[in-house]
Amino acid sequence: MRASLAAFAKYTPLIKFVGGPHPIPKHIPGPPQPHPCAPGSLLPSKAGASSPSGSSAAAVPFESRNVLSKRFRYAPLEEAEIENVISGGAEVVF
Amino acid sequence: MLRSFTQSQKRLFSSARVLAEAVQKKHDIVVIGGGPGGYVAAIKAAQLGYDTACVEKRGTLGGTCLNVGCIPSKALLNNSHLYHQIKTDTKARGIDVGEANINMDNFMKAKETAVKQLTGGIEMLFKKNKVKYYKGAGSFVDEHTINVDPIEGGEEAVLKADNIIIATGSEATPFPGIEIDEERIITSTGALSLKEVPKRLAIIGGGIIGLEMGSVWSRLGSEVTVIEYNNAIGAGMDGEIAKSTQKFLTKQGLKFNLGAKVTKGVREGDVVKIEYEDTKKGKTVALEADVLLVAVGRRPYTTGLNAEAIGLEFDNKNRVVIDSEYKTKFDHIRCIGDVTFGAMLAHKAEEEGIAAVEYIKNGHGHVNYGNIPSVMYSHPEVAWVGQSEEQLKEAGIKYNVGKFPFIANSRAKTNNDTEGFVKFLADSETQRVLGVHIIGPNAGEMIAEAGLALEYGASTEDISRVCHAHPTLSEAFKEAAMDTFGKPINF
Repeated sequence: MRASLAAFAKYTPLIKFVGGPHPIPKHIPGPPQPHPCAPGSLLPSKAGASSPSGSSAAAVPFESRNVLSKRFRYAPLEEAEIENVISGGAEVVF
Repeated sequence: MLRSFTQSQKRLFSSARVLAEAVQKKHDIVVIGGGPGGYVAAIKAAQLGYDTACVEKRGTLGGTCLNVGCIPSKALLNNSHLYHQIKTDTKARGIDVGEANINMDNFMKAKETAVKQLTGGIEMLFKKNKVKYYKGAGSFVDEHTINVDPIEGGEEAVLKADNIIIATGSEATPFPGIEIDEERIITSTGALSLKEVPKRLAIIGGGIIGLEMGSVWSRLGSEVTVIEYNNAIGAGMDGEIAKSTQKFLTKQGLKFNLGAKVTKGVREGDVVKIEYEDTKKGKTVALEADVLLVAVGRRPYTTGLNAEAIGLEFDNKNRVVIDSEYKTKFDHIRCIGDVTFGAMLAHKAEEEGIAAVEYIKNGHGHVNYGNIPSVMYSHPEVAWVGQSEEQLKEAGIKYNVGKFPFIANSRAKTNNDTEGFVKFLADSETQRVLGVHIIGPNAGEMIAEAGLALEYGASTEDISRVCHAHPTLSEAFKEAAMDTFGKPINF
């Protein structure tokens, strides 16, 4: 047990973890980005004045993952895959 | 007359009092819908310090998942598997048992007990986290006001909210021309509560729901025929995995008609007459069943929400249109789960529930849509996460395949449960894990390790360098990772 603990203390993992807790990037209000699963980058139109509560508007250099370079973005599910999951694998026949 | 007047006045006063009280109900966040997306969002919001309410009209919390979906189906799958094992798989294990029979009432009671405990558990969690639970149908009065039309045990209320989260879920998609009666022609809801084992069960749809329900009733003695429009079963599974799944289920007795376009499904007395067009042979085939399960998917559910009152937008599949922060056209009205974009999975909705609340709190939330696992709880189980071979080929990404069969895994051998394999897809240059597909015992649990690997951007070498306990099924996972760039030890 003691030997294991000693070995663990010296061991350097090959995977480099960032560790936590992760800092929460503050939100900068900007143009809305499409949801990753939205077909054809569909966006809601904007209604008039209605303000969310609780959001901070402090300026920090982060806006959205979607405006970062491509390697930071998530690979979106394809519409066909979403369809397949939603339909349970069957297609509605009209 | 006087008496009548007094009663009328009493009612008027009573209504006025209720309304007056109702108008005073103000919350920071109101969640409409108490399913896996909604209840998780409500609890998270309360934990982050918001005065939170959740409106649910079903009478119990947990949504489709807990009441008529994931949970009851897993109870039936587990218990039907036990029954089937006792019937077919005890002798070889040296266990002599007498005759095993199904007591359908108790079989269903076991399911209902699990459902009751879990749905009741959410009510307890609401109390613990101080989420106000309104039992009733929530509908928009205006963009900051929700009317609660109470069901039994609920209270009339008009709720004012700074933020609203719509999480109203989905319902079974009907099949055009086929009338559901939930007795002979049923949806998945009916398939969870059949009163007797149908001799012949036909299923339209070879996806997860159809195959899980087919497995349950096949184990209990039904002759199950699956009619699938596509040329493969499995709801977006990796092609090789889908073929293996079909092979194993065929061995269990399920029949498959693929490339079959259903044209008719009509109840005639106690029989359902079905016709489909065999698209390969170009001929019409007729068959009869005692019960027909229609499992062609689900559609968003917004009935009674009065979304039109505030002009919420829907796409052509009736999904609420949102942006990347789950905002609808109103910044303070967000929408998550089955009723909006993406796969209709309970765990996807849960992730979105947390993220939506975090967006409200911090302006930042996180859901990795490239890392949402799928599981089919057949036997053997099927689970996958990340990309399939077909997707990688289409994207032109070069990859290596690593596989390890459970027949070579020591724990699977000791359990005499050796069907299936683990399959890794890794970037051919960096060894980064791109997708993991498992068919085999415990696949649904094992896929979590693949999810961690994907999220951390691990390589298959990283996984193969992690010590996995012996003897466990998870050693097959490690050995499959090794197989992508080297050789497994035990095969």
